[in-house]
Formats: sequence, structure tokens, C-alpha cells
Amino acid sequence: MQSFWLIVAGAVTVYSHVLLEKYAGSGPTLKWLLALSPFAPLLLYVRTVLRAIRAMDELQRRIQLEAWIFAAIGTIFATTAINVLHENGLLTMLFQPGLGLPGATVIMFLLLILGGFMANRHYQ
Amino acid sequence: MKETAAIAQEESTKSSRSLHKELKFNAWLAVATVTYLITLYLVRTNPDWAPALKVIVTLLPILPGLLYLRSGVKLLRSMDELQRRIQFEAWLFAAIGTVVVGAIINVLTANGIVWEKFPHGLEMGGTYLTMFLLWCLGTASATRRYQ
Repeated sequence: MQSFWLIVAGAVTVYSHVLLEKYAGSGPTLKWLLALSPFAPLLLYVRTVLRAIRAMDELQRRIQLEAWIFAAIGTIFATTAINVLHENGLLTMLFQPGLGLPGATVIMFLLLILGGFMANRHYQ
Repeated sequence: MKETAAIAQEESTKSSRSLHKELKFNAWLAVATVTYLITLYLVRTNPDWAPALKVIVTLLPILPGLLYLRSGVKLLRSMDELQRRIQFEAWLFAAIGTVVVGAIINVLTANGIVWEKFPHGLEMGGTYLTMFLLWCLGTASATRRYQ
């Protein structure tokens, strides 16, 4: 059930894209609401994960916290590197205009797996 | 009397070691900031450089950033249990918060709801600043929780 809000966020992302294309000529308020709508379930997912981490035993909690921090900071580095390359006109073909929500989620998920593996190995 | 003097000396040594660690930790942030400013200046004043060289120079500040992160992890591991937990929670809050802020800006730009101040999302300076502000907030919130 932990992934429920993540699935909802994925569905809302797809649906908001469809609606944004449909209402491309509408006012900025509606566009803002539609574009930002996936963040509500995503933040609820983060809250669920934090609650689950707090309910874990000491060792598991440390492993999960290290894995999540590694994933989040890695995603920040990737996003910032792409943004800086765009800013200087060096990455014109890919990731325009930077990593969107799906890109950031995928990178974070991959880094979370790697971080979990590394933290598990560290505490073995 | 001797014991009191020994304890005071030990405390003083511990405090100077801790200060030295924190200075060493923050030195990498200063190096990252200076590198960022220099590379920004170099790339903007030399538009005729080869693209590969520009990419390398532009991404150079990430290196001291990673070293800053490594010293942060070392500092975290040397803390006592409570301090470590507070810092872990503060860093997680700051990191996830920065990812969310960056993603929001990129999503708005991608959908043509242009944010004139951030046409390329959060850049290096914006990312460091957002993370620092959220880290302060996260530390204050976690410290309050464990008081």
C-alpha cells in the first residue's frame, strides 16, 4: 500500500498532460493547477515513506535514510548539471527544458536502489 | 583539582577538533562557490570555446560539491546518535524539498507557464541556496521534535 500515492501521482501526471494539451489556450490559473496537480499525491507519497521509515527499527531506519538522502542528492546533482548545461546553451537537444517530473522520479528511483544496496553493504 | 583541569583540557581539545572539522567541511562549500563563479565568468567571456571544453568547465563546480558531500557524510558519521538523527532528517528534508522545488519549476517551464526568473530551472546558485534554507528549516524542526 506504500506505493499507492506513487501510482496516483503517475496517473495524475499522464491525465494532467492530456488536459494541458486539451486546454492549451486557457488562462494561466488553470494551467498552473493542472501542471502542479501531480505534486499533491507525490508529497503524500513522501509523507507515507517518511512515516514508514520512522516505524522501522534503528538499523533499517538508518539504511533507508542513507539511501533516500543519496537518491535525493544524486537527483539534485543530475538536475542541476542538466540545468547548467541548458543555461550555457550546451544541451539543446536533450531534456528540454531540464528534467521534468517523470525524469526526476526515474533517476531518484534508480539512485534509491543503488543507495539501498550500498547502505546494506556498509552495515553488513 | 588535577581531574578538573584534565577534563577542561579534554573539553577544549574536543571543541577545537569539532571546530576544525566544521571549518574543513564548510571549506568545500566555499571552494564550490568560488569555482562556480569563476567557471560562470569563463564560459560567458569565452563563447568561442569548443563545446566539449565548455561542458567540462561548466560542470567543474560539481566536483567540489561532491567533496563537500563526502565531508558532510564523514561529519555525520562522527556525530552522536541524537545529533546524527537530527542531521539525517534535516538533510533528507532539504534534499527532497530541493528536488520538489526544482521539478515544479521545470514542469512549469515545460508547460509554457514561463517563470521568467528561472528559464533554465534552479541553477547551481539557486540549488545551493534552496538546499541551505531548507536545511536550516529541517534542522530547526528536527531539533524541536527531539527536545
